[in-house]
Amino acid sequence: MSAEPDEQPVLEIRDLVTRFYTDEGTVKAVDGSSFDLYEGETLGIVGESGSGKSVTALSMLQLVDSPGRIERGSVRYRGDDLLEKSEAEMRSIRGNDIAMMFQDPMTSLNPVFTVGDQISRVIKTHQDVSDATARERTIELMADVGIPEPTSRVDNYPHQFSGGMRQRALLAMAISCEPDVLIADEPTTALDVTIEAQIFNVLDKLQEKYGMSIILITHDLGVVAGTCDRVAVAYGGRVVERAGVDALFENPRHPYTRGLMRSIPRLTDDTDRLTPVKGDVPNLTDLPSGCSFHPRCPHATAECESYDPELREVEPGREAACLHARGYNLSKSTIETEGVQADGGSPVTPATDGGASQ
Amino acid sequence: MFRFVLKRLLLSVPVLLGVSVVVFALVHLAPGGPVRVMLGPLSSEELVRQIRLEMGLNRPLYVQYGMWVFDAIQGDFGVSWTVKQGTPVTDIIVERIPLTVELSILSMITAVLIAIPAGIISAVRKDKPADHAARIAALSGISIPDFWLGIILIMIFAVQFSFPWATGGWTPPWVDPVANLQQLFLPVITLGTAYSALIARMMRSEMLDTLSQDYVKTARAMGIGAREIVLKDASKNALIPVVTVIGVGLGQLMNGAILTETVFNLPGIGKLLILAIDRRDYRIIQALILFIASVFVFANLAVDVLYAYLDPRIRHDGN
Repeated sequence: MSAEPDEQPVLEIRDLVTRFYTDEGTVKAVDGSSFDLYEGETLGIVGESGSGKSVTALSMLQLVDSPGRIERGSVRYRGDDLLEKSEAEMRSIRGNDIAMMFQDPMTSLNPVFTVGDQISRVIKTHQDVSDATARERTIELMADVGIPEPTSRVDNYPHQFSGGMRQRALLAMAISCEPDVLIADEPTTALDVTIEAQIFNVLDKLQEKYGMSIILITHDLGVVAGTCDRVAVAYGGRVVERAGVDALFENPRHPYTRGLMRSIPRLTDDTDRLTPVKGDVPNLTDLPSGCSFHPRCPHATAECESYDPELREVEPGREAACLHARGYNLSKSTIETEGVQADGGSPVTPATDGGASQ
Repeated sequence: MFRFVLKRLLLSVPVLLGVSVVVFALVHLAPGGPVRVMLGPLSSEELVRQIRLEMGLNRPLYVQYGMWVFDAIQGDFGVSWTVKQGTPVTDIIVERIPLTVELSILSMITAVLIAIPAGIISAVRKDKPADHAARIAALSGISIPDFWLGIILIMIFAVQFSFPWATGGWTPPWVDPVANLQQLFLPVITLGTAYSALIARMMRSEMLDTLSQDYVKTARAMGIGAREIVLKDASKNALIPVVTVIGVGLGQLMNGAILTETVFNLPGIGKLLILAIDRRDYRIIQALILFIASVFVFANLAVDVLYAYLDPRIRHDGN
């Protein structure tokens, strides 16, 4: 499923902007993020720490706390904009239609309630079922996610579970109401690799069984390659490249994506050293002008400093946000006029060449 | 759980034994003695020596201690010398315990009922007016000395408004509950204030901590309502350390009772202790302090049991 499917997306995120108003300044955690999620697919959102991945996910469910605020944009779920929903409406969506699981299984379960209680509570919150039914369903779910002896484990407390088992329990909680969408925020980062593989196996099976769409937030391109159908690469609070997973790995268009790929170790390579993306993740309180990647970009030219490229289709089914990406067609005049507007009237340095080659 | 309680009970024996040594030493090494109090400052040295001999006060301290402990273990704390001559110490204390127990329990209940909700509201409304008000109140409550607050309350309610609230004395609740509550109303406020301030501050900071935990984030992401998260998820976790403070505070209530009973002229064990110290009635002082120490020990034991009930992690470690 590498090309963009034809049907309506389940989730359509457009120009999402979330900011944190701190004493040190305004943090542009999400700065115009756009992407779609289609029925039954797994979308990977990949990027370095501090690229706004998690805040994007939290914003989608309106879970951003003060001093954070969702400034604009839309999150359309089956046509309805979630950002216009009331807290009560959101409550009936969270966990029921769209569920989310977090990074650290050790701290994400409440230590003073049994695992079973925590799962069945979610069921009882969203469905009108008896305690006994909820408990039965909980045991089924625990079996589904591969927790051994679920009938006795259901009454255990989180501290009696290992990390991998806790993440399974959280997964059971997240899928307890058979949501359309599961957002998994770095679900295996805190676990070791063998457990990681098991969790993704379970995730795969569950996706098949319940037919849900999954957003997988990760910094690990290896995970993306193994589990995702399509990928959105996040940088500086927005998506800079979207593509099917095969297309992305074969031929990354955005220089940042290429940089990320070069920093993965390969068994077949002879080189001794990896090539990191030079420079640091941009400070989200003070993003660079123009394209936020230009200070670290090996291909940056003068117009990159002033023109902020939006995500554009560079070939059917894939998009990139780079003036120099192959297929990114933008006339020089557009750059100049939009560049001036985007920059609030500062002069644009004339481009030296066409600026369309890599 | 039974073994756990038994173990703790056995451990409390050396603690109480230690307390008895310290109390005994302190009381006997302090200047002045019961004989002088009984006979008055003008009595002759000869007479004082003779009475001391009769009372056994001339024997070596370790012998006196040994005899006292031997009797005390059998529940015999001897008879009073100077406070109520000839009456068994146990009778004097037992008669006064109900008042102090009632005062402490009512103060504790009042304090907890005020403090827990105040702490929760303060945390949920962090940095908003309700929070500021609660924090200022808590800080004042901790800073104001008990005896001063008691005197001020007497001045306002009993003197200015002539409420029949600070008459002194104590009517047992089973005799006249209304009179009983009237007599204890101001003392309970006095004693409960500082205590509730302490609990409220603790509850606030614990709530702030638990509300920022990942499991709260998880619960929100699962569609659980804010009220349920605050009252169930966060509160139960926040209460665990707060219960410790409440338990340890029970000991402080005993301390506070001494001052409060004196200010309000209530015949409880606090007032008795002051009287006994004043008149060098060694036997009452020793018995009372041992009693107060036991309350401390058992309050802490109760806290540990409650802790295990609240925190499954401790419950399972014990087994």
